[in-house]
Amino acid sequence: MSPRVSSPAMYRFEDRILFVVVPSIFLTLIMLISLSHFHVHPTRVWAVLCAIFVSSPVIAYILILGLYLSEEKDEFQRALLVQSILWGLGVTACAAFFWMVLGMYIQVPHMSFVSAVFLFFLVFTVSIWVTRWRYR
Amino acid sequence: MKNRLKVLRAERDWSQADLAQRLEVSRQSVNAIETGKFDPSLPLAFKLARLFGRRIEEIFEDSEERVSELAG
Repeated sequence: MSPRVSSPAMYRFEDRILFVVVPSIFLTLIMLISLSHFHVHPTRVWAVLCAIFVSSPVIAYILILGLYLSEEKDEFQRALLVQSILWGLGVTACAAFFWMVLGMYIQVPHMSFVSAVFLFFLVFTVSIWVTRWRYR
Repeated sequence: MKNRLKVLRAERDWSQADLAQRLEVSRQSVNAIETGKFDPSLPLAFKLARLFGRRIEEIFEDSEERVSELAG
């Protein structure tokens, strides 16, 4: 049986991800690639605007998660989502600290913020699927 | 927390999906409550009690009370 949950709040959550977060990720990538390709280096206000624009998918995702938590009437599904967020944050924090301490003693590549965000979303997504599968 | 949901549901010949629909929650939620993996909030417990026409304590068993009963 599929572990998929189909509540109205979940449908809205999926729609928002599909129509807000996914296009904003594509737009961000297009902008970053274009800036790099045309060797444009924004300064002052443009640099700030670029930084806001690039961080918009993450901000949008967090806002959409918050909206889902406020709209979802099923308390068990809310608990599962919070549990998955905690897993994501916990694993990301542990990995970041581990990598930082490792970097103090041996030569390791710097862990970028982007890879930390990617790790959070990866663990969060896997955790959602695993918890839903457990209670299928 | 132990409960009699499965028995009450069987008495009415309802599936987990039927009960979930009546409670306006997911079937996973009913499964988690039924197996004691998730304790419902008071509003949901009252909703269950109303649905089955029972008091909350007739559906859910307070394990601590049971332990003190056995000890006493």
